[in-house]
Amino acid sequence: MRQALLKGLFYTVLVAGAVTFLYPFFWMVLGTFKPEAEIASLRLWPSEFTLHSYRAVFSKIPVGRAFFNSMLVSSLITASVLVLSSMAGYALSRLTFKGRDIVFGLLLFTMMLPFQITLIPMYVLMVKFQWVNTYQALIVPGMVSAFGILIFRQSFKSIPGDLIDSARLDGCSDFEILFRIIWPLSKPALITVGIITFVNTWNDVLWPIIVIREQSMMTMPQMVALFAVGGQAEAQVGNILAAATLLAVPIIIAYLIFQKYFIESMATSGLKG
Amino acid sequence: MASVQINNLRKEYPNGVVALHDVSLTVEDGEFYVLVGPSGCGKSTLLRMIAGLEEITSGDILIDGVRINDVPPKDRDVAMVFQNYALYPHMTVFGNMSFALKHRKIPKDEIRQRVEAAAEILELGEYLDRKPRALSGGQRQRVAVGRAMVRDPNVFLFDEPLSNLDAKLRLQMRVEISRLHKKLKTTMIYVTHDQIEAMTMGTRIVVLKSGIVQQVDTPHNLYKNPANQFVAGFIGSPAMNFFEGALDDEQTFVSPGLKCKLPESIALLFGDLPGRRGVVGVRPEHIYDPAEAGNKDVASEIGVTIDVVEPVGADAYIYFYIGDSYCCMRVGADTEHRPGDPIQVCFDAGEIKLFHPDTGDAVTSA
Repeated sequence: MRQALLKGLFYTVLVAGAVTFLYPFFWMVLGTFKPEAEIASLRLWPSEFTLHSYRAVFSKIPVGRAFFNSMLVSSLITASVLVLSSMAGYALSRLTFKGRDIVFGLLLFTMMLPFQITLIPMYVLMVKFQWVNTYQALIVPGMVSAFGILIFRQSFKSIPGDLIDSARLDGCSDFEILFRIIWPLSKPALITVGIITFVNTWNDVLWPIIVIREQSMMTMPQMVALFAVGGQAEAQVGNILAAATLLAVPIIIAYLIFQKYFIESMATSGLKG
Repeated sequence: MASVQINNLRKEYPNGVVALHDVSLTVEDGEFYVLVGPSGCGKSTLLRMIAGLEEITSGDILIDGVRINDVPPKDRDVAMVFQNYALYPHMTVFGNMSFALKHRKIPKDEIRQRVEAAAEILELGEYLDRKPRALSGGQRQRVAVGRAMVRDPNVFLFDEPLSNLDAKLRLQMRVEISRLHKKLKTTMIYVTHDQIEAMTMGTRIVVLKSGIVQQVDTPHNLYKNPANQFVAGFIGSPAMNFFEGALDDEQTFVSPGLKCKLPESIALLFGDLPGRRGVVGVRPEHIYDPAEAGNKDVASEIGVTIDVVEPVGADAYIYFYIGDSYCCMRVGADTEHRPGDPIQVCFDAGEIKLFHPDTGDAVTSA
């Protein structure tokens, strides 16, 4: 009896937590289908479904182009982080060379630096490279990540050394060991780093706002932010919610596909979510 | 097939730890060579240096007369079987066995032929499409052996391949690997800490301790004529019994709790030892109940009290103290002796060994 009560209490707290997090999200999504006058109410379900907010967003800003830009930038950065950070993670976990631990310490140190500190020097660099308003400015600075290196290093350390020695005897180079032996065994780490990198890049507003001025080069969050605060939304909450929902869709899809690996990796890497 | 020559091989780690001290060995073509020793003696390090997985501090390794110190592992034509199998978990048994061959761009037909031939020998035919996780420990180890076999290497290297198996499987795999060696006639270098494996499989055995070679010999010679006290104690199960003492008159050896008349041939050997001190060694099977010694030439009788009787199937081991030395004797399984029983024991005079009290070296001639 006491156990049943405790279990009931446990699930009540869990449900309350889930509702707290999910309610605003559902409110936003369903709000995009409500007539403007109805959005302010706390009622979740619209009295009538309308696509008016979406039509307004698509007519006012080049959503397609921004979506393409975001997809291109996020995909390239994610692919690059997976390749380059895993290579660095492999070197730091599996190769022995002088100064290895110092390099690793420096990498950890860079993780402690807030982005705002490097923002101005990075912008100056972009200006000097004449990369302002180009894809390079959006992609190159994010091509390798210290966070990715850390996750890969820890993950690769858990792979038995004999497996790597065996691959070496079978004729594999370090590149082949990494991509043919270690990668297939490190799916959770790859997916975790992939999702986190993709989400962070996709959601990033600050850096694109600094380096991109031309509308045709803008990313989705940048476009949505400017749409929301720049007057184009005409103070229509429905329009802002529709733009925000469009922004969230790819992330939700990616999470739903990979959540199993994501949770597995969070659990095994001891990483806080 | 190939011979392996190791000349003055030394391995020193950056932290100053020396794993191998000037090791020199010659493994003949087609030999089953066993490296045995306690944990940390450097046997696996030596094997990994032959494979090219460990850097050489100084010295040379030659395969078929060719110095391979700087040859990458893949070009040494050696195949290694690891303790924990080291099978690629994401590949099938066929994938694992064919991986090295695919890497060498060997034609597909030949790869299939080689893998199937090895699988047949190792009775793995029906498992070729399975992933390693769907196999038992013994099957996984057979896949690991098969993976080495298909490469048709000059030298097989085994790094404690049976340590992870249960006793029954270990025995079975021991026989299978020995059979494989007879069939392939390839040079095999086998590392183990298990002296039974070493004795039953090796054509020659190297005993290592703290990175120093103690003795290289056939299993029989190693057992019968150990070069020093370490080898005598390491080879043989249960271990040899040792008594440190001195010869007090012409033939009487005195050690705490023991006064024993030694045969003249052994007593004479004390002449060169400092203070006529020495360590006498007797194997458990060379200690008898005087009533059962028959017409064997035995040293004097000693009265002891049985501490433990340990039946092990065909035999039983009786443990007792002689002075401070905890001793073991082997008797028949039908022994009626019980713990606490006082018994008389005697040593087989012809099987007593003598070791130097300071260096531990065997003393064999005056």
